[in-house]
Amino acid sequence: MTRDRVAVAGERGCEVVRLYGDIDHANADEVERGVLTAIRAATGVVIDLSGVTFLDSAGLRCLDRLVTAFVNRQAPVRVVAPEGGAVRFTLDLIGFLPDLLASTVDEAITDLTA
Amino acid sequence: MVDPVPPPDWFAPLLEESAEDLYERATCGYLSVLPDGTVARVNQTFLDWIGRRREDLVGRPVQALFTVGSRIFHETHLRPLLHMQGEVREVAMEFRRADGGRLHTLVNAVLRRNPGSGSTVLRLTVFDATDRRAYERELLDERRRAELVAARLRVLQEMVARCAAIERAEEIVAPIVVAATAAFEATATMVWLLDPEEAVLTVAGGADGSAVVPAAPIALDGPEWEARAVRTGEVVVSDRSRPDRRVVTPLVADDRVLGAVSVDLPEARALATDEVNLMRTLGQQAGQALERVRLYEETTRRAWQSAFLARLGRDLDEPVGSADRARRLVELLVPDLAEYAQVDLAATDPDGRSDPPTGPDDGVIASGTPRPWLLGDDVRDAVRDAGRSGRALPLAAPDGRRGVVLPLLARTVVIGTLLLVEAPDPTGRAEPDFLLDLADRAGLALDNARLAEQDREVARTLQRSLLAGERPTDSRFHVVTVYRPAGETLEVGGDWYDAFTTSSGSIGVVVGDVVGRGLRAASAMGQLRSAVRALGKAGCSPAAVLRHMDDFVATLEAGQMTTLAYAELSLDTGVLRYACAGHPPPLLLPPGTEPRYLWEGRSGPLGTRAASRTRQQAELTLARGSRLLLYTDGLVERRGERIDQGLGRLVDVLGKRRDAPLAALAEEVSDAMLEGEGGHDDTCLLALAFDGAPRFRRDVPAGMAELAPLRAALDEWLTGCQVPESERYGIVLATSEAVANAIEHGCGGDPAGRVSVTATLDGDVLDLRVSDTGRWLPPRASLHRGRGMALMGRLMDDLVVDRGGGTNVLMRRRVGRRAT
Repeated sequence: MTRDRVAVAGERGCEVVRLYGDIDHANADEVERGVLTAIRAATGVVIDLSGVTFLDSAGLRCLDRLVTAFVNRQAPVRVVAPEGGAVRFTLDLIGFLPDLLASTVDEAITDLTA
Repeated sequence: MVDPVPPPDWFAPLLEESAEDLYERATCGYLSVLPDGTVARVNQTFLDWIGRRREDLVGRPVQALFTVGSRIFHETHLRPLLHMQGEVREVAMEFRRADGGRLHTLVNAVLRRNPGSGSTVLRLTVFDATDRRAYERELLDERRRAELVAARLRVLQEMVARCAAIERAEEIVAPIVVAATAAFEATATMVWLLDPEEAVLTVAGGADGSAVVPAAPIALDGPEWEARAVRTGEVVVSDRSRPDRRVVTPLVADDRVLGAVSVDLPEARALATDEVNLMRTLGQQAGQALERVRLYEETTRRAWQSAFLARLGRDLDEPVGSADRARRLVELLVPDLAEYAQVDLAATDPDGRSDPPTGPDDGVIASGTPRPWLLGDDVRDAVRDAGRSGRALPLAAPDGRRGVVLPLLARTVVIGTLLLVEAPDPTGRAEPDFLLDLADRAGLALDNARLAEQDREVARTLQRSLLAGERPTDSRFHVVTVYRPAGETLEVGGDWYDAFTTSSGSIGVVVGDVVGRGLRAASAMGQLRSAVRALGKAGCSPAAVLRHMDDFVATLEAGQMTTLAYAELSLDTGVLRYACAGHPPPLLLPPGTEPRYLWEGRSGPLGTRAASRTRQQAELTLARGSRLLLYTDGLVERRGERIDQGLGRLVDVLGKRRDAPLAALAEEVSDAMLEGEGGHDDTCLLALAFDGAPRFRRDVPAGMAELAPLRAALDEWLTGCQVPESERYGIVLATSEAVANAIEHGCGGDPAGRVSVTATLDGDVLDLRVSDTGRWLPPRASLHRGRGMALMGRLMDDLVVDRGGGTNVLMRRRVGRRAT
């Protein structure tokens, strides 16, 4: 399941974590563990939510913790959520760190490597 | 000395006697005494009386002739009186005779003075008073004896009077002690009572000086006088050769010996016959009093016992459940019959047969105080034995308290035990036979309650299963039901409702009322409900349904006089066909106008001969948005109110809530109609909304894995209701958060917990309800949960969290809908 929801790839010196499907109370903890075990490096991290179809408060908490974990490792983080998408709707609703948000992976990597 | 009177001639020969001879042979004695107390002269009569010679007296002091008493009397009374008065008449004097006997006399004494010399002579005239003296003494003795007899009779009478006033057997002691003390100056009196079964005499009481003497029991065949008196039924006294202080009389009543009274005299002596008779009479009178008071006690005890049993029967009938009855039982027994009472009911197996109780810890459902009985193994064993043997069993606790265990019998089966501890029992009320009788009655009452409980449980289960049938779902209508069981009785009634789709695509609704309560009514209701459903589903018109039901009821044992209202609504055309069999009329609430009753299509209850055999039905077309209420008479009937007043009230109540959502409307109408009513009848209400709000409902186990499928289903329903995608996501998100909350905090991870989600779309208002059945656990991660709540709050217009018997989250949101 986790493997289906989490995919990690290195791009232009950054680690890009792509998440897929619904992230909710049923699997948020699992996703969090999956990402943290997949990424060891303290380089820039991009969490791509473009493939996420549903994100609830548990998913938000998961994002919170991931960002906190990477920041503690001195790894800069960006979260990709396309404008007008379901996830962006949730993040906007709750007022999720606007500075960390990007609309595309490209934009995020460029921001991190600038 | 004496001047001779000239005698008449005819008795002259008799008078040829000298004055000397008259003096010497007079019928009285003459004594002349000189001032120095010596006898100067004495006549022969006196000398003959005292048997002395003249020379023995003359010149000797007269005092020597007196007895000691007379001498003292002479010195202290006679002489002073003579000195003052000169003479004394008829004084009693005693002279000593020569043979040592006494001469009782009456004496006249005159002091004669010689005027010349001034010397005096005392002249005594002595009359023999021996006979008179004896007579007087006899009189005196007779009087003394009469006085004694009277005094003793008075003592007896007083004792009888005091005995007549007593009400308890032990009170007999005091009057007996008083009587014995008064009649015999007894120094000790003891009352012994015979215990015929044990053949012993035991002390009922007594008095030794001032103290009550404890004494060991006496065997009936023993040598003691008390035992002899009881054996022989006769007074036992000492014989003259060996006087004794003790006297014993039996307590006798009608030839039966009840005990004995022993009296100790102040000194050892033989009793006179009349004293023996007195003792016997005392024993008889006291015995009869004792017998009477025993009869009185017995009568009082029986009266008390039968009154107690009557009260027990009455009071035990009031509580409905067996546990409540057991509780009432011990309340009744304490403190009148026991200081502590405890009921142990046997466990009941599913077949309804009871096992003997295996120990007091299994199903002790009631107990009385004040001092709880500390149960030990011995009690446990005794309880078990009593349960098996079906008899009363005495018990002694280690702390010295005494108890008795009685079997609670019902129809020869031991259904439990009753433990009574340390009955305060001065009057012997709690005798074993009575207690067994009491336990039998209590057992029957408890068993009846238990059987009734089983019947009720079966009926309730049946009713629940019948009422919880599957409901048709269709977005074009909406049905809600309210069922309120009667509050006054625990027995289920025969009210029912049902809703189903018919073969022609209509929706059929019915509300019915079977006469009666309990298992019979509930099972008849089940059959009737199935029959109506079968007929309606087959496409029968309302009148045809009623006709067939008449035939069906004719084959049933129960169900006659059943009333019902059946209506069938075509969802395509809005045509409503309905028929009422003796049932209150349906109430129609058309959109925008006042409610009105549907008074047509009426005919009599099912299975009645008197009612019209022609089943009527009526037809009308409902506007979309109309609501229809079917109900049973419990809703509109109130004590002291006419039925038309109740119907008027229903219109008022409904009119005020016409715009409320259907579910709320049904609940509120029921509440308002039944407010202040004790709930003497079951009430059933079915509300049908035509073109009612589309409705979504899911009931899922409390697991997070359910979230995704639930979201998909809700999204699909929203899509079907033409809710735009942009709004759908928020609604689904808020719902998902609420359900996750319910799973996490409401059910607390209990896998058996369930969460239900209901969504209705009434116009452009979406109502969402998420309910769980669990107890709310305070959330641990407040930020996380706060976020969930924040999401829900921002996504919905209204958010209400209602905790109490599970948590309800109510959310409302206005949605934009695409025009259809």
